[in-house]
Amino acid sequence: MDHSLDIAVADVCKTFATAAGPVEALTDVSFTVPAGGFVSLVGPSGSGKSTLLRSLASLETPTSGTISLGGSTPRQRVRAHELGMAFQDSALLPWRSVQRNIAFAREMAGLPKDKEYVDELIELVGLRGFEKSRPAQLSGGMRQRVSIARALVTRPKLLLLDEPFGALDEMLREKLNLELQRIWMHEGITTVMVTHSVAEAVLLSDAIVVMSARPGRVVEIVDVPFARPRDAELLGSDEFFRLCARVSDVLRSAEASAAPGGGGADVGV
Amino acid sequence: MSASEVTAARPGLPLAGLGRRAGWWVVRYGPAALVLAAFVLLWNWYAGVAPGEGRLLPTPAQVVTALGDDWNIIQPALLVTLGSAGRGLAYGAAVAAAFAVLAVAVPPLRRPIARQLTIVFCLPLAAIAPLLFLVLELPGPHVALAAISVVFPIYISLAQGLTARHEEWEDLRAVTGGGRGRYFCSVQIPASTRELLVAARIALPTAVLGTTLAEYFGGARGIGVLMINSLAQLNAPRAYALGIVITLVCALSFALVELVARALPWTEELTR
Amino acid sequence: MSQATTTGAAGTTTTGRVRRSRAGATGTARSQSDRPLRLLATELLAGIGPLLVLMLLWQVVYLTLPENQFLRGPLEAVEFAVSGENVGELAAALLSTFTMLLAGYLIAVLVALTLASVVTASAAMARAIMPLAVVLGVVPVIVITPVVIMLVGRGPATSITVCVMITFFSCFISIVSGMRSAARGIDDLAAVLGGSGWRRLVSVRLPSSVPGLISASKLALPASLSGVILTEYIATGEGIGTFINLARANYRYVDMWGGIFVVVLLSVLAYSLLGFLEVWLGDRYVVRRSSR
Ligand SMILES: Nc1ncnc2c1ncn2[C@@H]1O[C@H](COP(=O)(O)OP(=O)(O)OP(=O)(O)O)[C@@H](O)[C@H]1O
Ligand SMILES: [Mg+2]
Repeated sequence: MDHSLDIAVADVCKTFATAAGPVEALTDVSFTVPAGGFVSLVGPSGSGKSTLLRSLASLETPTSGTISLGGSTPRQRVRAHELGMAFQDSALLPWRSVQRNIAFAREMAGLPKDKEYVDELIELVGLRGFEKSRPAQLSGGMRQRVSIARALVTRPKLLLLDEPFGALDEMLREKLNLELQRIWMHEGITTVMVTHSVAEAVLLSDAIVVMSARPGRVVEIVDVPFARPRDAELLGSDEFFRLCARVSDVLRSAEASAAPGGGGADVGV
Repeated sequence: MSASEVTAARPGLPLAGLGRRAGWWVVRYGPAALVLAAFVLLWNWYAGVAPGEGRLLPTPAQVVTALGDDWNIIQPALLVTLGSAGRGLAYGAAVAAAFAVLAVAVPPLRRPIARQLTIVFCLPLAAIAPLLFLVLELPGPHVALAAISVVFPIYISLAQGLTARHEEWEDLRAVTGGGRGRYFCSVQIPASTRELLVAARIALPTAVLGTTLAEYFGGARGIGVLMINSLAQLNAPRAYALGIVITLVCALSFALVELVARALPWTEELTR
Repeated sequence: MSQATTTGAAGTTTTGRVRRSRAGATGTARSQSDRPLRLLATELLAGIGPLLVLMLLWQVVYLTLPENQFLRGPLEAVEFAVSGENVGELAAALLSTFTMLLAGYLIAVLVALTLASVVTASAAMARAIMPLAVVLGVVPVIVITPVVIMLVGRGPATSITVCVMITFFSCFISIVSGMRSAARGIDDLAAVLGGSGWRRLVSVRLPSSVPGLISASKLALPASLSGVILTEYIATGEGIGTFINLARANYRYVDMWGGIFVVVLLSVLAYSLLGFLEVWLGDRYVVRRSSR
């Protein structure tokens, strides 16, 4: 789509200094995402997925290598308020209503209020009727939808999701996955999502970046050829299952190749 | 995240191979050291230019000298204060424990007891101190104020520990048919070690403070008495030295509880 | 964990119980914050009730020791507080004491909020300030009160300083942890959106520090009041501390008991009020960790 950003990550390394010495979180990570694409990052725990995502958001600065978002640095895109982000913990402000939690993102970005768009998003994520509820009165799935609406409300050109459905049960997760696909197709925003669920990655992505732990590096990039919109029917199909199995194989070999003491992955198909 | 990663990312652990991580230590503790140094230098400088020729604000060096010179006065006073505080602590702890046992035995009484003791906590000690001097013989007030000031915190910790529910173990007791008394002794009491330590950590310094406060209102010996006298004589170095001694005593009691906590590994959370 | 699996059936009831009780807790909290007046009344009663019990005990002691020359009964104290001849003096003394207390509180909270904002905004500042704050927090203020008097003099400034010192550290630590408790995700999100430090402070950090601030002020209240009274007694010669002390020195024991009674009553009322705010605002502002 015309207003989204393409991503070019080139030779990115990230080393953290800690009390126990340097920790190499990312090593020579490179990949690209076309504008409007959907990419998932999967890998064992500690493989640097969050670090990579946070680097795209300029929350971390790579030790070396470059990240280009539509030709600019992440920091420039942040200053232009062009990124949206959501986390596993929905991270809502408990004293604000659903409506005002979504509006929070526009406040932070210093954008003018846009009540119509907030209402439109509430409709889009299926929370009509809960505009005035506070987070404590919502279920986990509803809170997660609020946090996704909040990520969209600034009309970002790049959407970054760190295990957005990680805390939800399987059924709800599937439902929200399909909703996310619908939203993504509707808005056409370039999206990068970290996930532990191979099925989720295969269902949603154009391509899956598989990473290994210690040091965190890209093992393989798996293309997902299925046509859109993908639906519940696809989830039961043989081809879907075969691709999931293949990604899981790559993941397993990624873990086996990791140095001893490697992270215990909690990857489910 | 695996255990090794968690440790890797967590700062502030006892470390081996210092040299390699010197840079990290500088980043971590450098600012605090700088601020501390600046604080001492500023104090030293201001003590030099402030009015009163050191009788109101002594230099750090004068304080250290006073600490050494007056130690033969400070030490007996400290022992007196600690003695009264210790007795107060014992009485206060006994009262708190009695209430805690009552709270364990009769659950409906838990709320009223907590509320009643909250009132004790609300008493402004300095307002009731003069009363104690009318009603009790010396060193009664010194002991009583320490006791009053520790009852509430000790009770809260004890009650919390002893009435905490350990559902899995309770189920186990129900399934295996164990007795309640046995359950209390072998699960409930050990499981409240942590709360006991929290109580100790708060109570020791609190008792010392209670006694010192009482000593301001009357008495012949003790840290509070010395302090009031130094104020009357404008003997600032000694007053500061006394302040440092009591602060160290409080810090020492923290450290002591910390050591005990380390020796009992299941109370680990306390050290965070 | 292994125990939970061996007792399968019992384990199920356990989770059921936990869930039910949790739902119950949020349910009551919600209804409480929706009916603030009722909550206030409950909190005040929770303070006054035990005070009445204490007065009853006092009356019993009074009746059992008829020959004690210092003792006065609760009825006499109440009568004095309502219509005693020195009641004007008492009111002036209380006004002075509570003005010091309030001034000290306001200054302490303002300084604590400012410093906490700085500390939570910059990791380097946190490393510079936090250790010192923690160390200074261990210093027992009551013990160094005479030192403060030497430094600050014998005026109202001393009362306020002591009050500030007692209130500040607990408030500061609670505010910092409250500000940090704002889920890390919110802060990251604000950063990703390019939010300025000021906006993040006002919309996220300050509101999240409210419950901790109230709890800390509540717990510091008796000690702060005590600190103010102590300075009145040994330094300024004003306020309720001096009133009580003069009454004792002049053998006006009814005045003394009356003064103590009123100051305790006010302390309990203030504590209950803060307790009310704690529950009422806490329900609104506490960041719940659970993601479910
Ligand atoms: N701020 C930090 N300081 C020090 N080390 C860090 C920091 N953030 C991450 N690390 C380390 O970098 C490595 C990668 O962490 P990261 O959080 O990116 O992994 P992840 O793939 O997201 O794992 P998970 O699947 O568990 O979320 C880990 O070894 C972690 O300990
Ligand atoms: Mg992660």
